[in-house]
Amino acid sequence: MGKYLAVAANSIKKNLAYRMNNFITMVSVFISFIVLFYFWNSIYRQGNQIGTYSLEEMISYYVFVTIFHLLVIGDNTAWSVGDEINNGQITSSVLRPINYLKYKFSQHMGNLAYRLMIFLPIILVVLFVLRNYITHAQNYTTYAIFALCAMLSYGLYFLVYFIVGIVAFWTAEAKGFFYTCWVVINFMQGGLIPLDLLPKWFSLISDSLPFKYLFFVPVSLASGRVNFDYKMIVVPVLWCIGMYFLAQLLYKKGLKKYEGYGL
Amino acid sequence: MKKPIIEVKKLCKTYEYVEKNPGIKHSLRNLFAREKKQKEAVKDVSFKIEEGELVGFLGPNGAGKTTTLKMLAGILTPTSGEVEVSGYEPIKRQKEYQMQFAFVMGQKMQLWWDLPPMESFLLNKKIYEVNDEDFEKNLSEMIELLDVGGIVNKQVRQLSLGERMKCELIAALLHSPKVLFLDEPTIGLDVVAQKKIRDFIKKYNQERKTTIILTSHYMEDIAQLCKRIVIIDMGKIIYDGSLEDLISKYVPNKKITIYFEKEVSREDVEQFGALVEFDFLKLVFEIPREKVKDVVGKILSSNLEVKDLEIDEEDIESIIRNIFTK
Repeated sequence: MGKYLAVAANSIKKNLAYRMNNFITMVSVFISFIVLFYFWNSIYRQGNQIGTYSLEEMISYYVFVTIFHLLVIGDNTAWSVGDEINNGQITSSVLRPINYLKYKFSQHMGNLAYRLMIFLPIILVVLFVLRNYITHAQNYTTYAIFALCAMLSYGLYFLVYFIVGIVAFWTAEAKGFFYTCWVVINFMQGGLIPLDLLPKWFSLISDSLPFKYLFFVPVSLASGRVNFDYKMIVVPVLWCIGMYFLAQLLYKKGLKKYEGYGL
Repeated sequence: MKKPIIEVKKLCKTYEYVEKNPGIKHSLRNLFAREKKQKEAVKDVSFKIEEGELVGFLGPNGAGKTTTLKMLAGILTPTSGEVEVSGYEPIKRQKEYQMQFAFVMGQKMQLWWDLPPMESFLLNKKIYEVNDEDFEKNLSEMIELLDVGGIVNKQVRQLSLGERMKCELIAALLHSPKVLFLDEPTIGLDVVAQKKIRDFIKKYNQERKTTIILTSHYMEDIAQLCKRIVIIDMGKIIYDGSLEDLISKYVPNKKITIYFEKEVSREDVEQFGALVEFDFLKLVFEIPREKVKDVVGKILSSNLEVKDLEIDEEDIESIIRNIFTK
């Protein structure tokens, strides 16, 4: 166990190593919140409602989208895994008594700790400044469920992007695939447009994929638009278990194919 | 008789690859139909290594040395044949086996780029479950031997190649492995750093009796460190034995290149030794090893105006070529 904690710790230290980078990131995140606020304000000046969303609800939605993008979604796992496979860096993990999946997850956790450190203050400031525009859930149980869903999302996103990254075992040109996955997943999870603003037939597709539960559902919970349904926990858990085994399987297969090119 | 710590029997490795011909036409064709070719990187390689030996794997680029080493380390699956190191089958990648060996690759790093080496050392301490006492002892010993005390707390990306290599070695040896694989450890390093690393490896092997396999295409690495060498060319072992025997048998001569200020004539210089190249201002001699010092002394103390002088070791390619043609 100690080794994975050490990996997480090293990830934090690595991220903190660049002070200017930290500062600029914080500033740009703050700006992105401001931009989205003014963006939706100007759109709503035309009328009062888009679908079932009022101005406040729309702003809340995108504020949570941004928060989720900052903290929960870790698409850089795919890039990082893909890079390590392509440049042979993964060899040093294969050689040593360390489990690659757990190793990447520990790095991911380290990154999360780092992101909480630098983004939480900004998020709190933004939530305070925009407090009149943010709709939120009414009771603590919903918040608790939301927290649980967010944690499940975090784990499942990691597994999904780990699997996406593993594709690099089979092709040296995986970057296009990663990017496509990111775009598609982002759309399917409601990251671009709230899912309930999309045509009915679309929900057939989005319902059969896990992404809606990872993002759209917890975010809707947090902004008080939906109530708790046991499916919100069970479905992600099942997907997590399935994805975990798939990740292990693909990793083993990929490793067999891995010729250590790049060394 | 004690069982050898490394035993390899009829080891083979064949790679599949896609041929990429130059030109747009071929690139387009590759999009639709790719020709898969096979390369036999390692063919029927067999050898045994006893515990504590320091063996050199020598051979030109692409000979199969690194591929063999990777199969010993469990990175690559052999196409056929048997490999056993320290009683384990490397490709099974059992934790117990991985705790016992280390692999240092000259061109690949296990140190975290943005952090000081010390952080990577501490991570390895956890990964290999090294206790505090051993860790401190090993670390301070190696830091002193390699003289890196001042840099272990600097970011790895700020270190020179030589310093990085030394830290890579330390990181690999913190857990006192029984077997050490070194793949081109001195590649790209300056002469001083090369010597420091060679001295370190030699001392480490003598004191700890660690079994070490070293690959290199620098003759000097092998000459300094290995009593026994294995020459691999085109996937096959073409020599396995003592270095001394090899040298005296196949490389009896050294090449001396001399540049003159003023043109010299053939008669002036023929007395010194066998002339291989004559270009009035530049000459190349082939002199038996034992006589080199003598001949050079004579040339320099003669009245010929020498501008510059080079003493060359025959490179591996020529040595191997020699072995094949003789």
